[in-house]
Amino acid sequence: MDIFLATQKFSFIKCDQIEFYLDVSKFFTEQIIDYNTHFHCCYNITGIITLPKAVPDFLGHSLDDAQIPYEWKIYKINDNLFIHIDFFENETIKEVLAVLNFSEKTILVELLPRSLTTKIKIDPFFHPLGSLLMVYLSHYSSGFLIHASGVSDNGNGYVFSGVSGKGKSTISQLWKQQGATVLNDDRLWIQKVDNEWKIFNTPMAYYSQEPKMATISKIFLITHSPENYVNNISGTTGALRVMSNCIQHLFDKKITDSHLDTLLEISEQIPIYKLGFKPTFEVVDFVRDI
Amino acid sequence: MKKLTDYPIYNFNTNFFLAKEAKDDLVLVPVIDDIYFMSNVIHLNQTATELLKELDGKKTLTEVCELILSRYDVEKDVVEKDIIQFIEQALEKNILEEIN
Repeated sequence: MDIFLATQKFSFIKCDQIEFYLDVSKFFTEQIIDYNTHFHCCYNITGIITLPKAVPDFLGHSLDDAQIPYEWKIYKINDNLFIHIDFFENETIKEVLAVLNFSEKTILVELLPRSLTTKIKIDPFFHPLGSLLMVYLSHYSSGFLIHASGVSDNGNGYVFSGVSGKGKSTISQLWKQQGATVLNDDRLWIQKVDNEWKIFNTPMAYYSQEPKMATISKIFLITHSPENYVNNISGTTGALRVMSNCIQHLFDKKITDSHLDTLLEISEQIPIYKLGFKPTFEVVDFVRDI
Repeated sequence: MKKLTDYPIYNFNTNFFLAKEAKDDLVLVPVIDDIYFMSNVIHLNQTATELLKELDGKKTLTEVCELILSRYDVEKDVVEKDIIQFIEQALEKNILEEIN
């Protein structure tokens, strides 16, 4: 079984006690662009998880209203990135330890089940492992994940970025109703491929979407407004405004440096605007005319 | 109103920031215990960038002021005011360390 995300291919092997069933990754088994990186992934069941003897480099937890609460920790040791997830109320899995090695192109995942006799049915990119892996996989490929909706309209790719409540879903619906293709209305993977900046959708919980991509023409940082307006904010200011909407858990100088380089590069090559919009179809033509 | 001579010598506090040059500007990412705080990034404009680069732990603020005056056709009062304003804001954000 293979899964394709942006320009990356993932092949899997697993132990007999694990059964893969594709949920969030369901439609990501076909490639939509040539891959340039091939990861070999191995999923196993274990009776004990041994964490690195180090202080975590980064940690986080689920949102307060999550159905299955969890905590995660990141450890970076030499070339290995350890992702540890502790589930509190998951009925089948207690803990997960994934080791991502970008040099070797390997991902090793150990699952500690509640019961060693139960068969585990999972999507390889189950939440939140998939999301955490994608944060680092995109960074290691000089790309990034961003809170944004992506629209493809007659060959133009538009990114509408904003944190929750800024209108990503609203503006996506308006474009969809005007005949454009919505890649995703919440999260995008952005990466430069052959001198073009591409947006890709990614496997996400509660979404059932086929993989899509588009070439970016413009980036908009959106907010609700009584009237439509647009201000050009390209350059360093634009790069930093885009960065504030990126999904980034950075703790490593090299990767932080590279992330900033990527953002500064995109801000020099793609126009970035602040877009205030009122939720009517007028905003579609308003953007098309920019 | 403070004067340039009221301030000590400063150096850029590289222990707590990753500095990234962007055209004529400078982007500073706060770093604490190897965590990079991307939501607290500081963007210095061209003037602030030039001032920060001159704060090398050796020059006094008066010497920095003279350097700037030798490069641009500006009033001394304006440069002094700009330097003091920058120093006060930079100290607030821990960008500078004092050299004793």
